[in-house]
Amino acid sequence: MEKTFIKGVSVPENCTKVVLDNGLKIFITEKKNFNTNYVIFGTKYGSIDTAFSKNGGEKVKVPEGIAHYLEHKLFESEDGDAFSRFSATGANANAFTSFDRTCYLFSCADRFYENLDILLDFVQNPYFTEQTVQKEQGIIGQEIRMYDDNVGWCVLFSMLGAMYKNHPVKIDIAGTVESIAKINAPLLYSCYETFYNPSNMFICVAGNVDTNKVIERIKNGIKPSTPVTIERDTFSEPDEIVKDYVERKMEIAKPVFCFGYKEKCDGERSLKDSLCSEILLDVISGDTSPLFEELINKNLVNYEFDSEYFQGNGYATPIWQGESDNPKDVADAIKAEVERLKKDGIDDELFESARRSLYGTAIKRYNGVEGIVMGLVDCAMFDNGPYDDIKILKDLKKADVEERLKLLDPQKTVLSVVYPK
Amino acid sequence: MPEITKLAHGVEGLFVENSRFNTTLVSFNFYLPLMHETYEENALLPYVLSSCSEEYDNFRKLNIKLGNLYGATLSTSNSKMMDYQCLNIAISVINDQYTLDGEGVVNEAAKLLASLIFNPALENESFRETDVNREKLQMLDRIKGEINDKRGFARAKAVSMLFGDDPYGVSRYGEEMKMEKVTGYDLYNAWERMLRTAFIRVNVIGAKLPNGLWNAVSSAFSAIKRDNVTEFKGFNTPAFKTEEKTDYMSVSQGKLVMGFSLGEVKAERDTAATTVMADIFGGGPYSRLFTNVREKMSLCYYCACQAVKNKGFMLVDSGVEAENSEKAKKEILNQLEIMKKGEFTDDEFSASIIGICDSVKSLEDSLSTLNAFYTSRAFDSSVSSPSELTKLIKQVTREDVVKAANNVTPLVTYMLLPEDK
Repeated sequence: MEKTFIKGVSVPENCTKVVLDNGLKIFITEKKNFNTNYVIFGTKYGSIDTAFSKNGGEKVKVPEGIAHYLEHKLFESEDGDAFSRFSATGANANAFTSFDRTCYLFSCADRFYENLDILLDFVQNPYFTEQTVQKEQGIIGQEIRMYDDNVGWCVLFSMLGAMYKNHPVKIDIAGTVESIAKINAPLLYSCYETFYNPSNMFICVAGNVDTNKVIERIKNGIKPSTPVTIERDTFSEPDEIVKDYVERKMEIAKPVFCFGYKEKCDGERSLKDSLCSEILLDVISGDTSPLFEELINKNLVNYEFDSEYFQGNGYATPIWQGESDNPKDVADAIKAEVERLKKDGIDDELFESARRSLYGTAIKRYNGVEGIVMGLVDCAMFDNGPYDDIKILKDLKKADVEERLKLLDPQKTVLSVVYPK
Repeated sequence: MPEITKLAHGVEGLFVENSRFNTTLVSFNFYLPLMHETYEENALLPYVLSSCSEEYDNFRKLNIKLGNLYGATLSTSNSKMMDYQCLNIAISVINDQYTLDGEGVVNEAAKLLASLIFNPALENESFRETDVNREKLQMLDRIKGEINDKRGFARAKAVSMLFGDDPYGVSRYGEEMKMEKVTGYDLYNAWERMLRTAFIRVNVIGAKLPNGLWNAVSSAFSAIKRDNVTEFKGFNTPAFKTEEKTDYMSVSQGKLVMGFSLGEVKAERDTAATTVMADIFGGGPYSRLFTNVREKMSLCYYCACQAVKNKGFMLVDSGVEAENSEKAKKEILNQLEIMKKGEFTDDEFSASIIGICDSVKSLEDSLSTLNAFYTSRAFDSSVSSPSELTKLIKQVTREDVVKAANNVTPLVTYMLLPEDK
């Protein structure tokens, strides 16, 4: 077991990182003046992991949406479900699956160690039968239908579908009604045995806890295992986009758009690169930018207009999303502003305002145990230190941000629009 | 028990000393009578006030200032609370010790917020046309955009059906036609009326009170003749309507919303009992609706209830297939009957009490929930802190819950179904 103490930077707290002999990573931050404890037991396994091989074996392809399906099914065991066990202790339990991870979590004020035992137990004890797998089709089918009516979700996936030819990021996290119909108990066990090995997992804790006691409890609760080697798909994604414009219609009030640049991306972005891209987005179109002022004054967007840097293994795209009667004009204005910034450079005052804003956001994350744990999960996923973002933001230079402009190729943009019916 | 300071006639300052956060929140809450005649202009007012001021005369200048205050967040809301319309403008900012150069930002942020409220950008006893039109367009988009969120849209429909002509039935942002007619003069009158007549509660949550804030607020009000100040006189439960309605739209998933009267819920003990009743019925994953309608019958992804005790009603909503909507409705009513007969289990009862108390204990660990707690209790001196609320919940008996369930009457059903069904 390796144990490292990491002193906080700019915030009055610390973190202990432990790597057990079986490869499980543990991050713990003590917050003695909080009532709430928050824990995530997660695996580096999400919706994009649709093809993989284990320990050098044969490559397996699995149905889309299986990581999310597995998340639903893990809550069940032979003698009841995990929700009812947490109900008895008063914890608030949940789980989520994203493109690259599946996380099981609880928050509680009391009976923390009992809750930790329940979490460790149910995540490590899968129990699926054909009958219980079948039962979930109806519930997940309704979850998929719910997202089918969510315009923000639909406009994003339409854009990703026009941007990525092969990468599974373009597929809905929950899959489709057709793809989940192919899921069965043996497939779920196969994914579980590969991705739920402790060497691919992490536990992040923040709250009024005792670090050593938490480590001991986890060591006692983790089953013996041998680390596995997972080979994930390399996606063979071309640099080119599929098409630059897509549209569809839904029952909404005003057209909704999503616009993005496809960046060349082989692996994952470094933390510094991601932070620079976030600052760049703020400079291009944030609340303080001349472009945002212009778009609002021309009534081309409303305050729903927003941007994010969307990236993961094999994909990276800055995305702008909003409502507009003229989405094409908005996309053109963004492209023009990007080209202007490439030519004129970034204004000093705007850069400083964006850097301070992002620094303030990083500090605010430590306001609550949930924010802290979410930050620790990113550390576990991408091998960063807990306070690396604060350290980087303190010294970030304008030239670092300007460098990111080079990735924005005006020939590789996609505009997705959903119009009202 | 947080400290309350009287700052002027009907103006109170509430300081919640809480050193666990890295930020300080200053929140102005204005409580006005909920009336059809003034709803739209009141609703628009906080948005115009927080967009610019005499000193920061356009929103970009203001946003640059906020960026330089380390991304200080200015938030605005308009909500219905009992028989009142509550307008809120708040700022949250990182504490001085976390700034990059050790500069003070908390006092400056508090000063900025006060200047937005007391020194807006005016022209000849009117708000400026450009500001009013800009923010009015935003509000009109919000009003029209309510249809984009089908779940929220269906819930709002059910509330409007329950309340008929009562002002509580107005949709959150008001009526489109009336909003279009609001002028700069109307807003000036609304602003003047708000400062003169609203009951005002200024919440500060943070490590320390910003220097001179209470004096500055007192002094600002010394120049205003406060009269007809909103007083708390209990709340009215109108004669609810009974109605069933189905709308058809191009959606993938149907939405079912049922509205119920809660009966007389005014005494503290009744309020606590209703909280527990609604939680066992359709709160957490241990609830009757979750375990039966979702888990056993696989009819939906969500089926939950929300009791609005201070207005005497409750909603149950679910996303279902059109062909299952009647089946789901029948089962929801069946579960209510089970509640009325007291046939819920002891485990469900104790899980609910433990779960609610655990959540209430965690309230103090989140700046936003703590602020919401005090904002919603500005008129309620009986529950002065989250721990007081916990005590009340722990006193609730099974008999209290059965009694609360027997006061529940189903009144309205609203269904939003796919067109082709």
